[in-house]
Amino acid sequence: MKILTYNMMSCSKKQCVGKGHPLKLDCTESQTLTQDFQLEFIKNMIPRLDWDGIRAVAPMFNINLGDNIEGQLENEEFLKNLFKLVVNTKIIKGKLTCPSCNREYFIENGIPNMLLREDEIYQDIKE
Amino acid sequence: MSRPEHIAPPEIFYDEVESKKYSSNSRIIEIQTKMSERAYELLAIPEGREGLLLLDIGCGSGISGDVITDAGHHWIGCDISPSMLDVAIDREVEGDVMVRDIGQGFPFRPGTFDGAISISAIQWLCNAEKSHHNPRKRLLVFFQSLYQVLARGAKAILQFYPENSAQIEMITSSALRCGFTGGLLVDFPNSTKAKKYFLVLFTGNNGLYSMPKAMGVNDDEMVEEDERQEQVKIVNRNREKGRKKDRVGVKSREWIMQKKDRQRKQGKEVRPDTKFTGRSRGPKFVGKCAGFLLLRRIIKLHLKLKLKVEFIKCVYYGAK
Ligand SMILES: C[S@@+](CC[C@H](N)C(=O)[O-])C[C@H]1O[C@@H](n2cnc3c(N)ncnc32)[C@H](O)[C@@H]1O
Ligand SMILES: [Zn+2]
Repeated sequence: MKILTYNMMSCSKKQCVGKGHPLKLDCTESQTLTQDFQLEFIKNMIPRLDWDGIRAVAPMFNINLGDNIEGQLENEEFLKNLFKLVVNTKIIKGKLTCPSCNREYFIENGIPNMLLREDEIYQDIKE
Repeated sequence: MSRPEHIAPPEIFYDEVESKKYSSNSRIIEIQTKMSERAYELLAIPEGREGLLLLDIGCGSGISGDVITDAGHHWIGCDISPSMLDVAIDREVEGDVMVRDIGQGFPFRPGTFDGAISISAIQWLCNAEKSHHNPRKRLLVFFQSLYQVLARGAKAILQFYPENSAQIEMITSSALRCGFTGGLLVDFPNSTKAKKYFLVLFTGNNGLYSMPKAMGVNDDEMVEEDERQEQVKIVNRNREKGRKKDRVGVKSREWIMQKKDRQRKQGKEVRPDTKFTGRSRGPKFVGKCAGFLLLRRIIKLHLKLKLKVEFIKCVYYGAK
């Protein structure tokens, strides 16, 4: 799972709507990918990124984005570092924890398991 | 004729053996790729636009996702079958995948995606796999959540295999109840072989959309249908070796080079040729012959499924 995906995710249990992110990331194995820098994509993603989530994980992968993120959105070096973090950093093994309900989701073989149990499903939809 | 949905729940049906067989069968790859290309076309992303983030619903081993990658976009896929996703990882797809039952909605923040496609997956939601499953509820959870995770103005194109008209009704009405506009598009409605159902959904809220046109409805488009049928026939004829005319295989290196040449002539920007151009993205596995008959049955289902629904051509919804 790439950091981008991690950043877009949220716990989807009913009681966590609106506060199920950023998930806490524990990473025991990661991998660096080599996709070419794509300016268009990173510019498209910037308005959607959750900067708290970015700040929380950048140091784990030794990527320095500086302190003042907002001022740097046109800075190419910053954008390249950001791309390296969100697209070229992949978590192979680890764990995600919901900041609201503490539900843990495990990542194995690069695949997070986001299946909910029966009692966790958002069931109160009106028919 | 039995359908996969009647045999077992998806995560059981698409077990390790079936997932590998599915993903290494060249006919399945070709059919899924064609439908994915059509779905991508229906998203109507302006030509030259790249770098979007799309959702692939029921992504399986990533055959549909490859089409998104080839168009220059990124994707995230959800699937309930861990074995299918393992194959996706083995095939080194460029998108990201996660285990998730789409009947539980999506675990993403609102407005994450620029669009969504789904190929041959959502008919599974019409079945109750577990005692606590209620298909109507699951469809509503699915569409409500899909609406949320799409950016405003984004579209979703969902190809599916309805079992009967009641399923079509159930699926479309659930989508419309959750705020989507759009409707059902049927390509080649008069052909049992080429007929394909696409649910075309818009998140726009002011009715400013227009349904795309179905293929193979008018006479002048019949040519295209013949072509399609021809392709199906060619595929079928593969067994009688030697009679087939030389035709460059779609996605072969040669085919890609030809396509790139065409695009260069049109003055388009084309990725440089490398030794990886047209390299096989799989299949890395060759299934054993055990269960071959079952496999044949499944291919038949995908190819020749005779749908009981005959009338619905193109239903327009939402333009109240
Ligand atoms: C025919 S395969 C298509 C896979 C891929 N889209 C392709 O074109 O090759 C259907 C996929 O839908 C998935 N599926 C079925 N029900 C599902 C559900 N409730 N949630 C998530 N995925 C599901 C299956 O696991 C399977 O991988
Ligand atoms: Zn939670």
